[in-house]
Amino acid sequence: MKRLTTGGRINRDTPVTMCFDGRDLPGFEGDTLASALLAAGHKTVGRSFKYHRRRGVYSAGVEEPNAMVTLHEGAFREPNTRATCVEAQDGLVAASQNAWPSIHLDIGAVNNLLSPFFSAGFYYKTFIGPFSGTGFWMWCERFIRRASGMGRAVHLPDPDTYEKVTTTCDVLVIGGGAAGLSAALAAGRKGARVILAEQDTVLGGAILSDPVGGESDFWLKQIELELHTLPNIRILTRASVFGAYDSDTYGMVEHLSGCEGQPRQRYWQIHAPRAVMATGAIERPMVFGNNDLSGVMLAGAVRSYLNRFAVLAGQTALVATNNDSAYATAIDLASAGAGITVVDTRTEVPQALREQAETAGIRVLRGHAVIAARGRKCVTSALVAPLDQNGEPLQLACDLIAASAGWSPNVHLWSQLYKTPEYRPESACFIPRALFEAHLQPAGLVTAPMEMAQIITDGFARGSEAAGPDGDAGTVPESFDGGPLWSGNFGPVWCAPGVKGKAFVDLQHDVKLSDIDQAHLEGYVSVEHLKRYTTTGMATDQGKLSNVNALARMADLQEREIAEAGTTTFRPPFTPVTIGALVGQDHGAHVRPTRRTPIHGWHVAQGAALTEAGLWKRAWYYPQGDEDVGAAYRREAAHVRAHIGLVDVSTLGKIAVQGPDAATFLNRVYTNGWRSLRPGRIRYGVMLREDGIVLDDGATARLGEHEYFMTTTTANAAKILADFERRLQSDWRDLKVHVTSLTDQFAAMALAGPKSRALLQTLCPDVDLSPEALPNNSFVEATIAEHPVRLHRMSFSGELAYEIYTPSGHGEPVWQAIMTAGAPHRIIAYGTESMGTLRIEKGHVAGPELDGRTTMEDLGLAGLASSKKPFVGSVLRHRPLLQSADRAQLVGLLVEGDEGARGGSLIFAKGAAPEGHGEGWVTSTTYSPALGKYIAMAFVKNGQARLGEEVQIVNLLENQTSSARLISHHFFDPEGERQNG
Amino acid sequence: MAEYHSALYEALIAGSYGTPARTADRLTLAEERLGALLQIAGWEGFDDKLTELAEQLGLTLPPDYQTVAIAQGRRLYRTAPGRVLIQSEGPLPVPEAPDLVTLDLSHSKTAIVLRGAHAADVLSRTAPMDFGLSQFPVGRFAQTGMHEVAVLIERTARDRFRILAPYTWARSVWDRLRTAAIPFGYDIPPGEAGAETTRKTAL
Repeated sequence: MKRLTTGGRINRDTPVTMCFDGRDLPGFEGDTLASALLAAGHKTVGRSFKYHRRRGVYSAGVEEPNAMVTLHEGAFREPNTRATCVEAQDGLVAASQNAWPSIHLDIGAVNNLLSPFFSAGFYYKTFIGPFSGTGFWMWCERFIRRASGMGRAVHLPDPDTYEKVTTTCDVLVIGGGAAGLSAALAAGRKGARVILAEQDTVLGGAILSDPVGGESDFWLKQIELELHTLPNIRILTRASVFGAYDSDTYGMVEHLSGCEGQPRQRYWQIHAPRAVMATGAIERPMVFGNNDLSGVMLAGAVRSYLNRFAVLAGQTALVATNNDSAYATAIDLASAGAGITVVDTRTEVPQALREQAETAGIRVLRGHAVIAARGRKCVTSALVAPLDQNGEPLQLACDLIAASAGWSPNVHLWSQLYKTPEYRPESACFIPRALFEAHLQPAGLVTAPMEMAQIITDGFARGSEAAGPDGDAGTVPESFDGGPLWSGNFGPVWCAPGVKGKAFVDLQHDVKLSDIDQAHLEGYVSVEHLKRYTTTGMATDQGKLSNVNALARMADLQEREIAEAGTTTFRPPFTPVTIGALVGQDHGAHVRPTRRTPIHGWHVAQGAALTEAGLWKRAWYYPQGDEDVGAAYRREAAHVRAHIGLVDVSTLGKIAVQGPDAATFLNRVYTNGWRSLRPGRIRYGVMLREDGIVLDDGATARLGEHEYFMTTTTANAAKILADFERRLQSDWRDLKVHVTSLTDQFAAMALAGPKSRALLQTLCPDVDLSPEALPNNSFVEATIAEHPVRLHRMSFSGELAYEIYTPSGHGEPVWQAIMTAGAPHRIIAYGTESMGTLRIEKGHVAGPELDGRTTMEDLGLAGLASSKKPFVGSVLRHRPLLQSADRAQLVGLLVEGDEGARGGSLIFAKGAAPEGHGEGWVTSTTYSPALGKYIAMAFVKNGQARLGEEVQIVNLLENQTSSARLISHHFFDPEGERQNG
Repeated sequence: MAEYHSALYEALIAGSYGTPARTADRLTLAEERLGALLQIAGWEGFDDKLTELAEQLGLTLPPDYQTVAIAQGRRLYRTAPGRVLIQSEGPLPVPEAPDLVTLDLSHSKTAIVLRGAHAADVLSRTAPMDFGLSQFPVGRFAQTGMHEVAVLIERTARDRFRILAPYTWARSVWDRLRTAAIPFGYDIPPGEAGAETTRKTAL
């Protein structure tokens, strides 16, 4: 291994210094971490997954199974990154992984000696079954999980930033090689909006592996020049399209610098009605003994390192192949001064290739195959045998084995959309099926073409088609000599008979040939089962290197063709995607949207403790001094009963119901009648679901002849509006009604307490607020400090109370005006916790009681169900189950002791064993300052007939039991004298 | 005179934000007072009635649900079959027309203005739409989701968008836009003196 003094596409004028395993690693701009490691002579760069075998760089791309490294340190740490895809940057810190204490002396290597025990299915066979049940396995699993995996992630918050971007184009071209460039050119010339996505740092694809300054370079420069002149083409490099999804949507990750203020990665969601998949092909490994030894590499990768990075991977190389493509590697290596022997499994090699090889001084062994690599830390020789077994194996000294068993087109994205590709026997690979209507069309190497001209023509045609019939794509660019391809002259041998030593099919997961054989012996016949049992092709490999070889072995054993054995399909992502990129900016404060009431700023300024109600932020309580929530809510609730308080209820759902049929509409959605409600009045109503269960409750005011103002509970506002819209657009198209959310239009606050009328009267001196002029359940328009308001006289607390509605932009000024004017009345702001206390004392039902299981009868609201008209749920509410006499009914609980009851606690008869589901459950619970006791609301079987009975409240979660007496749930002012006064 | 309290009151802190090094092509993020916003809705024959009504206001009923009609400081958006929104910088007379219902929604929306060469780039980081000029030209509007909130986005100029966000969600949308704008750098213009930014203004 050495860096050549000339050649390559690296910038020798810009050296960089990186750090690998604590030591300086020199490189140049244009290098990858892998090329720098090779140039610096690092033969071992990692340890294998299971057996901890020494591994060196194997490939030059996204398929790399060995050179998995951890990048950066501390919170920036990123494990399992392929060194072959990491751009060399000054200051980059990388470390090997899966080894301790180091990759050169790894304790885990003992696994290699124990390998006979670690065959396919080892964990399941060993740890499941010795004892009954799963306890033993679960115990063992902890240790297995600790021992498995590769790199380690950190549990620190990721300091990097990421972005999510949505974009649209007419044509997405995936891949910037010869086919992709041709496709982008054709589509771009026709005027289509094109995104050209290339995962590498520069365009060119396989061309970059050709010697610098050749015919292909000239072609590439010409095409790039023209592409850059077309403003409708957006070229994105370092951008990997990892997923193809329904509705012509593609997922892509773009790697960025991550410099100050800029994201490190950007996740693109691309909507493209047409896409061209020019994703190329990945070379397949040859399977022979010790084919994972450092110094065994893919032939194409060896050529890439030579011609792109000016790294000569070996001085004495063996090129093991079954196809023409590896000859390009052999010839280039020979030109660079290496001694080369080609070991070709074929007996017939095209004459032109033979002659080129001979001219370059290359020895060609036809009809031979490598059966084993030899060497302790790296390759020192290879055992080569004739395939006809007519002769003894040869041991050839070498420091590099460049292997090629053919190529596998990257059909992953296509398969994600269209399932199983088809097998092409003459090229021994899977290619996309011809689907003329498909929106994602393959082009180039992915279709296993025979020559470069076909790649360019094919790409150009797909690009032109994708752009549509309009415009002129011009002429197809002239082709160049792309060297020999694998697909034209292929020998089927990928594994010689009589291999010696561990022969790996899947290097990343340490799956050996013998594992496939064992799975076959154990009866695995389905390719999907084989994959999961042996783990071949799983994880980040996603079948890139291992699929076809594993299938070929399986097919051989089953005496079938590969096409008959079938293949697994592929799922996103094609390459690993950082979770941070998928999350983008939607984390922390942006993990979900937050809803603030128009008075939110005042609450925060006053030091309110906030609580979340769905997506709303609400004032929970306003602590004084060191008060906790318990002390604060008792103080606030008691104060409201004695004086006056103001609570923000802007979160209530508010819906405008408008139109000549509005009353009819309300009659259908509410259980009670609405035609008799006069303008200026308010009525409480209950809604049912179709099945007769209570859906929601609220009050509705009649503003005009055809206009109503409805309120719903906070939690159900959106659901009810959506239900109304659905009914009006489908079931009740005959009704002339429009419903519109007013939740954002109005702020709302409830003023409650015996002094509330007096305070309001000072704020609205021109309005008569006397009980005669404004009785309960009526409203009046007014102004407060010049702000328009509507005063609804209604009570949720049992106190004399008013709900004050004002346009949102007036919300805080109105609130402030009330608080200022209320000072002489000792007004306080109170939060949701004390609001809940007041409503429980009054016995109003809320969310815990309207839990989707209760009926009007259960809630004691049956009197609100009209018998004179149909309404939603009016039929099914009479189902026998819902009318059963032993249903749980709403009651009050007067709780003994100083602890109160927990919501959800079960209720048992006094003296009964607390077993099973009990006779009911607690819904809402609080300490009642008005009663000086803990109270609760609960559903108890036949509860109304059992008032006065002593019961047990059992909290099985916290193992607590208390006693309570069943009473009416209207704990406070049951006659309503205060609220109606 | 009664004051209007902005949903963005606490967030409208004038200054320069985002990537410090980026000085060119900075964005402006501001609130614009909406004025009057009226919803008019109807049933059968709605288009004919509304055409007549729009003409009285100097507007032409757009043919679709994505083109804004603009005239005399008023804008008309067809938001759904049988529904339009009319926004006016000044007072808007509530039309009296049989079989139509009107609803004042002036306080239900907060208008956020995003201006600058990278305005479309910021929007593409917050809403799943194509904001390219050819697909989303000046005078086009769309009702879509931004940070999971239902918003109406209008392109008022080549490099200027106006986002109508629900009042109670506006702060969340604003914060999300600010995050998306960080890599480009952005300015919030001074409060009441700024042309587009209002914390508290007299109605």
